[in-house]
Amino acid sequence: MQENEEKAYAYWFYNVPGMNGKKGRELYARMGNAEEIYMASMKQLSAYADKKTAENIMHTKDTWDILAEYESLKKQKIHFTGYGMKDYPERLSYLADAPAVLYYKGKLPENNCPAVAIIGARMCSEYGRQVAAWFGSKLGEKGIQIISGMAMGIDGISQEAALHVDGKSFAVLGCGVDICYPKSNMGLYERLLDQGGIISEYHPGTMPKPQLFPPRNRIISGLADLVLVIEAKEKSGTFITVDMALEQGKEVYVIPGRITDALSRGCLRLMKQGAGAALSPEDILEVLYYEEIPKRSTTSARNETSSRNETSSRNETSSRNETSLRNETSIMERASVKEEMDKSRERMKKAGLSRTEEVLYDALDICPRSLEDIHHDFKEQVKNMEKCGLEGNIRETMELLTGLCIKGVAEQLEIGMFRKK
Amino acid sequence: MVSKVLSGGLRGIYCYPVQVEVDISNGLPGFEMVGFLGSEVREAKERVKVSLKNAGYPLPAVKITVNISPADIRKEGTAYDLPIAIGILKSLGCLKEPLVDEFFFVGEMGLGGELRSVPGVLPMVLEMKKRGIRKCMVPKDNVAEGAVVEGMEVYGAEHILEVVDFLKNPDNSSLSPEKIDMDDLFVPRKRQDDFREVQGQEMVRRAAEISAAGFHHLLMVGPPGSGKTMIARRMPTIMPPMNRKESLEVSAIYSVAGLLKKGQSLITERPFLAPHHTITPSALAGGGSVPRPGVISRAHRGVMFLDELTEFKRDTIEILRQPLEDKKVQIARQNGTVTYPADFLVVAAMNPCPCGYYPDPNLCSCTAPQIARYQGRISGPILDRMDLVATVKKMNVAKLEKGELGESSQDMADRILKAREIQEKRFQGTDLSFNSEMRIPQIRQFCELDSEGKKLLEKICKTADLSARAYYKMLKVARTIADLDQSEKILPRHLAEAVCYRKAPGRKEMGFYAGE
Repeated sequence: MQENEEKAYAYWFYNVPGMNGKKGRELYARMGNAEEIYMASMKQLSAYADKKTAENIMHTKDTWDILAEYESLKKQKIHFTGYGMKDYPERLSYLADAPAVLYYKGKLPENNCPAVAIIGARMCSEYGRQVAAWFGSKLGEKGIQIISGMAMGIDGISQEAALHVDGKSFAVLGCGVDICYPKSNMGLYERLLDQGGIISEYHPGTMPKPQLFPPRNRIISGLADLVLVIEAKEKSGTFITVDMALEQGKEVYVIPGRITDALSRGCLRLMKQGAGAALSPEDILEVLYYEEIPKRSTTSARNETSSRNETSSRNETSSRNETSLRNETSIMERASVKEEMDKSRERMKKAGLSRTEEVLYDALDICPRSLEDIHHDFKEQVKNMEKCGLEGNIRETMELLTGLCIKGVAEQLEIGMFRKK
Repeated sequence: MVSKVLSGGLRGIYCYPVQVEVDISNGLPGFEMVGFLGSEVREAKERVKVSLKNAGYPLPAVKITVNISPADIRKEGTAYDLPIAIGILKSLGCLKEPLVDEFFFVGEMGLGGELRSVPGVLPMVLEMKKRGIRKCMVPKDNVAEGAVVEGMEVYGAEHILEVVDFLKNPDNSSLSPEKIDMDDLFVPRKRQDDFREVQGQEMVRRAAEISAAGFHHLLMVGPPGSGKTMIARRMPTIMPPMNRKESLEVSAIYSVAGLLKKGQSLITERPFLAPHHTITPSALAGGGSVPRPGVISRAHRGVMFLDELTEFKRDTIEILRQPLEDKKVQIARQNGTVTYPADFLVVAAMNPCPCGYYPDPNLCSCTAPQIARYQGRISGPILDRMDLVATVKKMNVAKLEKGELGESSQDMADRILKAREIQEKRFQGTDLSFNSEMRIPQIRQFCELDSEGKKLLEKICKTADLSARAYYKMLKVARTIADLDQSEKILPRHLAEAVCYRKAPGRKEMGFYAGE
């Protein structure tokens, strides 16, 4: 009850017009808690706060019904927590610019369970789509919490994949937690409420605005132990998150791609600058469980000493987790990357492709290619083949492609676009 | 004394006979015209008066009454000048010859008495032939179009005096019935455009061939500058040449619209129209207080190319729905409803996204919602009528330089012609002429598959997740592919090709890793 009261006062306090995280934390440090502030007289307040703020505080006291407002928030199933409170995420408390308050629906990420932020381009390629789903589901399966922004593309796909295998995932939004943005991710939003949580530092009802998104990125990286970038162009919002992550001392991993793909250039540049390359989900698991969990020394030094004890206790619990998971990961290691890579080959063999079909299959890619391109490559190959009985016209190519689709090794995407399955 | 002269009025591309009655009586001198006349027709009074005077027939001070019957249909246009003038001369007793009654007259007059061209001569002459009239007097500029009607004596005069002289003394006149060698008209002219110039682009070439063979509407999707317009322009070159019946239909429309060039007799080449995307609905469908044929009617028996399909306004494109279904368009206006034929092949082109380069992530800078919004702009019912969807590839300049030429229009046209002949035979005795027009009963009847084909079809349905409509569309396309192959049965390979031209449903945003 006491905690609730504290939250109710804090909820009022941070809703005072003109109040922000920095100011709020300063006042807090000086006056103890929000209730004290509420009880304080104008004279007391003006000793600690500037005149405008003090006036605003006094003014809202008359219009804001502490308990009723907090009740109505609860009725909307929106939870509230503030910096320094018991349920405030520990990872965030180390941040220099930690959000003063958090609103959330569902749950918050667990402090002693590893968390990975998966981020990347909204307009991703088929390759990014597949990799995001692969990493999301594999990490989700192992109980890793997936933190992301619920955006289109990489964000949403990786979260969706994690939820699909009953994993846990949390979305940090650039709007109020009661607003689903983008709307097309409504299904994901609903599932996140059950299997994870929706988190935001903005008051409920805040509409999405471009300037609100960069600050929320620090929460995404702050909540994670490791940041994984799947696809990003050279100029991308993803880099805001990466910069934040580096500032916060988090590990950054990227998925390599081809140097000629615009969507991989961003990742490759990061790699050049020293980011790790993740070739399979196991690489990420290895970092999380075998190596020491990334130290927060750089940022935590700036924080108060009170949290140090908690940090050490957290490391103990996580090392217990490590031993239990060690066996599992080693099994997975044996199953390893190579198997994943050979998967499509195997499927091809099972389908019993002829020699010409194999050649055509090689002309396909996991990214969609236009029929015209596929045909062009295939024709070149056929030219060099002897006794294949093909003339090399487009009709044969279409016929063989349909055959591949039926055998389940290829699929037709949009018009005239095909890819390996 | 009352005299009567035969002329004709137009309703749509059909002509109805008109009697121009002229009476001359004593009384207060004047010139009255009655018969529900439009203002151009009423102005004929002045033109006729002055031109007759200048031709040497000044009107005496008598009361002249002109009635243009049937008097309950509104008459428009300037074609009644000549019949009114002839009627007056007849009433005045200047033309007593019975020959006048054998003639059909039409033409506009200048103040000096010269005859000028009028629209719709071809349908008028056609109608007169039906009514048993054999002789027509038309302005010289229109004689070529009238003369194509076989069994008609069509005279083209330049001046009213020429007409009068001829009627008075036909044997001693410079006028003679115009003769046109029809075979000469239908000699295929050498075309400038040829499919040979389209390099690569094998998918869309093939799609164009199927489209022309079975009259399947075609949608091309591709980046800017990939040659979509170039391909569309070459569509008429691979369609079979128009036969005489088709040519007469098309020429009648152009004649009514006043679009036949001076001295041009028939339109013998398939029309190709490419309306700009800012076109208004009434320009597309046809309109005006006297409804004139719109773009869709002028594209009759030819190709209508809709470039930048997504840029057309929705209500403009929706206009196409009825004509695509009924092959004609009905235009209702205050002065009545007219029907124009509109049986055309739609060839449409669009970019896949606002910047045009989707799905190439190296070039495309559009966001997913932008692309979805862009593609969502095409009206669903119109997209449904596109049997063939094909991608056009961005061309490599280096390859263009090398200049590998493609197959020529002539070779393609030969195959298409054979496929058309097969269809003609198939649909003998029905009102259908192309595979694309088949409905479900005909599809059941003509698109029979062997057991192997049935098995394949089943598998395709399973993997491709076809809707019922897409299923029938695919069968129709497969029928045309088989016809091009001169195969009586639809073979599995025809089906396998047909499925590649369908519009696969848009991708799902959330895809799972293929291994899951």
